Amino acid sequence: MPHEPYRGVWIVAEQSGGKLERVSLEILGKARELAEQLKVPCSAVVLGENVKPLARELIAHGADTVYVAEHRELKHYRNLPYRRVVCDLVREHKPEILILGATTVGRELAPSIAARLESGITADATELVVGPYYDKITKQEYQEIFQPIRPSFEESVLATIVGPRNMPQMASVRPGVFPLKQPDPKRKGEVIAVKPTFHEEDLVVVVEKVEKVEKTLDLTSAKSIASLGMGVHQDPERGKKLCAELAALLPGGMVGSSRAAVEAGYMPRQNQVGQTGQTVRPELYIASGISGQIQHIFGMKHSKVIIAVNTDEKAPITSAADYCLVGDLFAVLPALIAELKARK
Amino acid sequence: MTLKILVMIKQVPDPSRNRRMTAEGSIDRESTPAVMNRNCKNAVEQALAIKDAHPAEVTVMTMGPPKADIALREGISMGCDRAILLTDRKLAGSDTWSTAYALACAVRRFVRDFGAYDMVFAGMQTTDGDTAHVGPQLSERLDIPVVAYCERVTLEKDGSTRVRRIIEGGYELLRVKKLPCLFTITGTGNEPREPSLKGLIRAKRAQVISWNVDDVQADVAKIGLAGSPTIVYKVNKVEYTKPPCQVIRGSPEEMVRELLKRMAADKKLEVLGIAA
Repeated sequence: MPHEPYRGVWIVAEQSGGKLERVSLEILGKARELAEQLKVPCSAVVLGENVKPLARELIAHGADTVYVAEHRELKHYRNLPYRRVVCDLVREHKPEILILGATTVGRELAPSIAARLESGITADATELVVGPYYDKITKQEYQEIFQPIRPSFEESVLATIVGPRNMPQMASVRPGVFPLKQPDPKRKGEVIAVKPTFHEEDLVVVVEKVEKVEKTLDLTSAKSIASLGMGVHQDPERGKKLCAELAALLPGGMVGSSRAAVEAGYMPRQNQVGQTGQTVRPELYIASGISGQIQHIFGMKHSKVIIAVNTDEKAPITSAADYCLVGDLFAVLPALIAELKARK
Repeated sequence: MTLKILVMIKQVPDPSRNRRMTAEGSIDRESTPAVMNRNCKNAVEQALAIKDAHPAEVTVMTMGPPKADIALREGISMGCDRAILLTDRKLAGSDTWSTAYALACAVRRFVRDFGAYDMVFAGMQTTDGDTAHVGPQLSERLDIPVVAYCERVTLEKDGSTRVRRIIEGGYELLRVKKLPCLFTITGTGNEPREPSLKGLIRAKRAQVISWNVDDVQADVAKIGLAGSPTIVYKVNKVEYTKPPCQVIRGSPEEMVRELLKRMAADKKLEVLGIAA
């Protein structure tokens, strides 16, 4: 065994309201592949209140063992209690690889676990492979090292990052990177209940309210998206009307929004595009009055053609856009709508 | 009682400039102008918003080369009271784990010199590294709780701290019963203030405290390239096919006509559902 006594590929499965996040099943499918290549078991950890029924789904998606940590204090994700449970399990069972989804929860939990375990971690990996590695500094040769690959420097390079010196080797993976595989309801697996105990200091952060909108509008199916940002603030009603009119003129058009416009109450949350909204890749994305926060750009930059309408030609959105019309959306959109109508 | 607030910032290559790449495919930091990372400014603003409402003292801290001094002075110009630079060639090549370790050593030195802190703010992520790791990892090294993706942090009369944090499809409202706590701040919750004239003068005159690895008693085996748990094994350049943004100016009608002309030339008209 290369990493004796460390053995096995683990994921931390994320759930909210008793439902597994899709990304957890995506990374579980990949973890299963890696485990088969390494000829080691594949396990999942799930934390929450009344989450035991989720174990079956995790087994169907490839887990040999599911560690179920149930506790009233685990109902909502909070860093300290979740961190404690996962680290305790890892220390006890010693997996060689640990993978988490790079959600808002995973991007907080994964690095803090790595810090506690003194493990190396790769953020937002887009590919996971296992292969040989020679460590030039320690002069040690490894046969089966976890080699997550991530885009760096605004995706101008793909970096392969390894962490062979400390176990487990860790990575977080963005949602939508790996395909969701067909579950096998006949797969057999073991469910192990974990009874966590907490110290008072673990519980200093209290979740008072969770406001989460279920996705009712599927922007990922849109062929074109006309999106609005804070530029709409002078006259939100008129801006929304213009955007809807534009979307109706575009092939398979839908209306999108930046997070800021949602938070300001201008647009419904179900229209939100971005890292905490929906990640879209339509043929055409028209961003009107959107400055382009990193999180927004993350959710739309893979659109085939991007047109920005913005009063500021240096706005960050232009780093992702193909064309930028410099002007006020209330003047530019009517002109664009009129021209499209005339050409139909 | 005066609150002690620490803000962790990072100087990054200006993302609005065209960056040059080195032969190895990493950003050429020498030739690209450096600025304070966008989300770090939001973190400074969050700290100053608390200082506007409560007696507080804000210290801005960074780890970086000597020229990171400029980003620290920017923090002073916005209203921060003190600036600390952790700088040492031995820190070069540190990954997020080693960076968090070194910063934790600096925070401990801060406690020895200036007393206990109540809050630590950091930007949610940087535009260069983009990992969002250092904040949560620093909290672990300091053994304090972390709340990432915060839009707003306020102190309540009952002594607790209330936090609005973004999550997929919505947000959470949290209460932190006991400080200290570390918060990472997103770009969506506030608008960083511009420096005042008084602030600019103060920034020019300010003494930036500079510490090296020995000053903060960091173990050299845990920092730099050799002390980092992660190793960059391979770097492959991605052929980036996206041409730069075409900026179109003029009257609305002129811009729309020009857009369609250029899209036709670029063979992209069909996405608008119209023929050339």
